[in-house]
Amino acid sequence: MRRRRSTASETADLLLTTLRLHADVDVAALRKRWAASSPAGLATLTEYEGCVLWLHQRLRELCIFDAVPAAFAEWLSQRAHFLVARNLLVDAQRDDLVQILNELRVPHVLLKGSARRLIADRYPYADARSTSDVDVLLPGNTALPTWQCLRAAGFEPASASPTTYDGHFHLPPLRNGRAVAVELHTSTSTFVPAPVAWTRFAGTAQAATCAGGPTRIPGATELLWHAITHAPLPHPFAFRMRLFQDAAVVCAAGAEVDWGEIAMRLTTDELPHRALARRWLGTAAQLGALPDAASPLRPLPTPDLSKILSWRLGVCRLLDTRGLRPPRPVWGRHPVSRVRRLLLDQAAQVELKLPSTLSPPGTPSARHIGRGVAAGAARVCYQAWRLFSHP
Amino acid sequence: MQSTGVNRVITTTSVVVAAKDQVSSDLAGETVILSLRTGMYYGLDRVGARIWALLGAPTRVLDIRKALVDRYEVEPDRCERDVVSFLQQLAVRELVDIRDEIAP
Repeated sequence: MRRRRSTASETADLLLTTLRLHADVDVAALRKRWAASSPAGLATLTEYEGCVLWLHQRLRELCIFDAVPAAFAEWLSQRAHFLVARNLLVDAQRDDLVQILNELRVPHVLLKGSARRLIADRYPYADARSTSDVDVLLPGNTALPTWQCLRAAGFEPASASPTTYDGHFHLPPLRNGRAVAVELHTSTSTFVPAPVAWTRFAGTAQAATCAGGPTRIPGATELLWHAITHAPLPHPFAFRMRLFQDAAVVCAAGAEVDWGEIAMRLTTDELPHRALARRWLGTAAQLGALPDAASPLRPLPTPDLSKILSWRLGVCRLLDTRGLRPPRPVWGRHPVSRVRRLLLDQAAQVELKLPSTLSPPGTPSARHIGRGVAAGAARVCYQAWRLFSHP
Repeated sequence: MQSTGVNRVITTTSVVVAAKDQVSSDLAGETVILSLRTGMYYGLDRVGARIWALLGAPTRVLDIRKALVDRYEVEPDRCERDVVSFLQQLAVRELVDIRDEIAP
């Protein structure tokens, strides 16, 4: 007699339970559940969620990697190796940049992945995510001269039209011989003036060291705040594990976050989607557990992440005919990739009550109507699934 | 005298050290090495990762063998053959430099 394999709902919940950065993990129960799990669609889902390294590290550290179905474990391991190698390339670029900035005596604070790769000792799992470029915050008046120094040192604008960055909060990305872009930021958001950004980040930065020399990384409050403002709200793909992770690791570490400051900023115009940002933070907090000190934030809305993941895995299984490896890239332009993303995005819009994503200006009316019909059909699919599986 | 060691014979008295134009990272006990020269990356299992950790400083093959024999249940001769073979593979990929002796 064959053993019953887990449903999409069970597997999605298993993924979520494994990723949660809570201390009270029933490792033996998790091991059993992984051994009985069906990995169909899981590779596509983890790729979409951007949580390959997080899941890999979590399974290893809980010592349950050997219980994971072999084919998925092999895929996960190979993918993790690739992403770590990619991160190493980014780290090398970061180290070179820090060395140059130190030689130029330019004060700086590393941002995003470049910073998080250096702080896993303070925020476990902060580095278990992929990083694609090097972001660094500089005082507003030093950014352009530094950008020009980098140009003189052989860096070239990565974009063909650097003028599109006029007035933007970072200068045009630069590249040297290495395929990793460097972005010199004057702020972290369109809504925060450069002097305010520098004062916040520099005033609370933590010291760190990389192969390029001494550097600084944001303090806990700015790490968390940047995670919130960096989530591309109101787009549905803001509600993915990869983006939640940046906030969850700060919550889980019990770091000294100024929760009153976070609560205050959540009421300001720095966030164009304040209610949505609270929902986003509430979702992220489920993965990391808010400490008691976070009371100024309460109550935070807590959408049902398990249900969202369950639908996503079901879609990945449906469009993943080989049952394991993604037949088409998650982010590609192939029709299967686009249908998959449409189904995932529209479900998130329904479940999280996100505003509709409008077509870009200039979209021909026939295409606009076509998109509307496709989005409507995807929403009907999700509503029907929800009615059937979560009455 | 120093060589990347592609065509060199590695013996127990050889001194081996990680090459400069590579970077590596721990991956839950394993190690990923990226050659900055070629852009190729390589994965090492836990034993390979243990050897790689020793290669952060110039280390005699004899000392690597001793460290592994002390840590794992393995015959010294078998260990030596496997270590030399492993180091040769690293040398072919120019991930290590091989020296005759530790420089004073």
